[in-house]
Amino acid sequence: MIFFLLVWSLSSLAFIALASAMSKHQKQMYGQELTAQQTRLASILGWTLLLISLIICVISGPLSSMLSFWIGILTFSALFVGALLTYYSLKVKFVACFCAGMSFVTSVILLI
Amino acid sequence: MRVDAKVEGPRQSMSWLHTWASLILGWLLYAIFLTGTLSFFQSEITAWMKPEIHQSVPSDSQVQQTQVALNYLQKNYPDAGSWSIQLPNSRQTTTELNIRKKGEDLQARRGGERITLDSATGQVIEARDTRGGGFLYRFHFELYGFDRIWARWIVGLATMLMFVAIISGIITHKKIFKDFFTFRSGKGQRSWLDAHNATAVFALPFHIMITFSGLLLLMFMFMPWGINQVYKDRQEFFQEMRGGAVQQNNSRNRNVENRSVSANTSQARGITEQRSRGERGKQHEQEAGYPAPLTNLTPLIIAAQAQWKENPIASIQILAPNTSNATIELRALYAKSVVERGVYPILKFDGVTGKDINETVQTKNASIPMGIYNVVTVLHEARGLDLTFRWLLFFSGVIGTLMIATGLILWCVKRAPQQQKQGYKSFGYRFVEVMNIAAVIGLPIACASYFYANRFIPFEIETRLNWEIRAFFIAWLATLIYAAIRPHRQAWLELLAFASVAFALLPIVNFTTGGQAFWNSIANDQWMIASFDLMTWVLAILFFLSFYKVKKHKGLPVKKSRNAPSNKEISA
Repeated sequence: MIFFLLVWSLSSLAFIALASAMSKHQKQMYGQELTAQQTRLASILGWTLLLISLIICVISGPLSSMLSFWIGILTFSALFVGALLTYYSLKVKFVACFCAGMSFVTSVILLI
Repeated sequence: MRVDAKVEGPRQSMSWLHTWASLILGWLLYAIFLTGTLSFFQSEITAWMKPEIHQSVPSDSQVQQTQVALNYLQKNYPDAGSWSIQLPNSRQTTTELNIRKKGEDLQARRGGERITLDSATGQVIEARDTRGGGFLYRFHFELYGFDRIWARWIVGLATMLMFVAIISGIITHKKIFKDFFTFRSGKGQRSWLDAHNATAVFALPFHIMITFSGLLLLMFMFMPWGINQVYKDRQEFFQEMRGGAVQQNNSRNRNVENRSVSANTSQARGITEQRSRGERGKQHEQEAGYPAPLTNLTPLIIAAQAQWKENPIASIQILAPNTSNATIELRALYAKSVVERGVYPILKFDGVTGKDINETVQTKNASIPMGIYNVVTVLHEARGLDLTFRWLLFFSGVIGTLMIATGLILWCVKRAPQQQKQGYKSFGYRFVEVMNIAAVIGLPIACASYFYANRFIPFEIETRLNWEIRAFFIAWLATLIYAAIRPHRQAWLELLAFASVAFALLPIVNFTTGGQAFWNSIANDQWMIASFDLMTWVLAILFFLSFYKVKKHKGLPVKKSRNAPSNKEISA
């Protein structure tokens, strides 16, 4: 469960970053469009976080099982970010902090 | 396919294909998806539907659980040919025993005497006669009341259409990435389309996996010619395909034979004078071994737990117990990986000395096609997967079910303005409306009535098992008739309210009719029962929220609305 929460929070954070790189969601979340540089940064951050969550999965067990698990989790992190943007788009920053906190706490628990 | 013969692009033609390929067997697909999704938890459903077994609250220690089972077996079946002990786990609250007599085929998949034990007390539990979750599981690929082969062909055809719908849907979808996170609520047709797209895109890997593997699981029936050309007997082909498992079984048999011979050789020195008994008697003794006490299983269990860590022991099989030929095999609960179908960590021990007799069997890597077959079919069946993975698959199945439901409703929503314009509902439109209600909300009501029937049909009634299933179909038919005779909006509202109440009361029915109350099942860590109760409340809330939404929906005046009104608006 802790492992699931780690991968889920990381991939949710990644999807929030990727949504931040899309102009129509930028207006929703921040009330204005981000600069080209910020957009590029959000995009890089999103893909990097997704890659990290994939690496964490792949090194934690058999490749076939963990790859399937990762794809399964992505469904629910994307669904979460989709729902967030629809109903609580102004709370995205708070949720992003929450996800980052959860990633940190779960990774510490798993490392101990 | 345009009637005016104008040229259309690939997207438009795929849109047509998507619409009609989905609709033609959409209701059947919805039923397959819903019952299939529930089948991820068929053990839990069966456990809930057998309240007699709820009394079994296993101890935390697998050593203790094994001891309880062994005490029972030693007392009642000391001379059996084999004992198989399935220990309680996160999905099963009792200990399941399978006992085979001497001379019975120990490798046969079926057979032997099955006994359910209270894991704590060792008392035999006689549960009620029910198909449990097995009915829903069988229904999702064999339907009911049809010839098995015909039913599988029908389900296969529906699966093929689903596959067509997925591919044509991807092509039709204009902005998969641009609208990836987009859901515009409260905007009539636009919202239904967004909901359909979101449920399709977010769980797209699941939809592809489940549909493609559904076809693969049935492919030997659809395309038997290759196998028939090469193999005389189909079983030969399946044995060869399951190479790993057969290899393991063979090695196990060989091992028992070898041990039988070596044990007999040592014993033979002291019994040369008994040779006159004849060849038949000698052979019998060689097969049966000599009486010898069974080793203490505790160190073996501790060794397995130390090796497997978070993967608990699922079952213990003891061949030729209480003889010099005894062997003990421990199997883990979760599979090694999804690319190896049916391969679980196994440890083997000598049943007398407790010595480790594991053989290092080199499992060859599966070929790429075989690997793909294994991954998708293992995921489809959730074989040997842990609970987190199972929940992921279950919720993905829920999303798939919602995708089909929103697609079916969208068909009506899209055509509602035209129907309103013409001033009456055409037969085809009304037919789809009624079928949508009977499928989307009728099937959950049918499931609820299956659970109620399980608790209220008296024990004395013969074939009560069949009556449970009849209750399911009677309720389903009743919702169809109800949807046909009631106005559209009213039918939705009333059936949603009914489903909400029916599911909300199920946990109460559970503990008032002999089941474990949810506060006890939570306290006892019996999550296989508690999660059923809690899930029925989640469903009740969802149905109530849907009821509330439909009730609140007044419908916009047609002139002011730029968006097409929903089907609910039409009937309002």
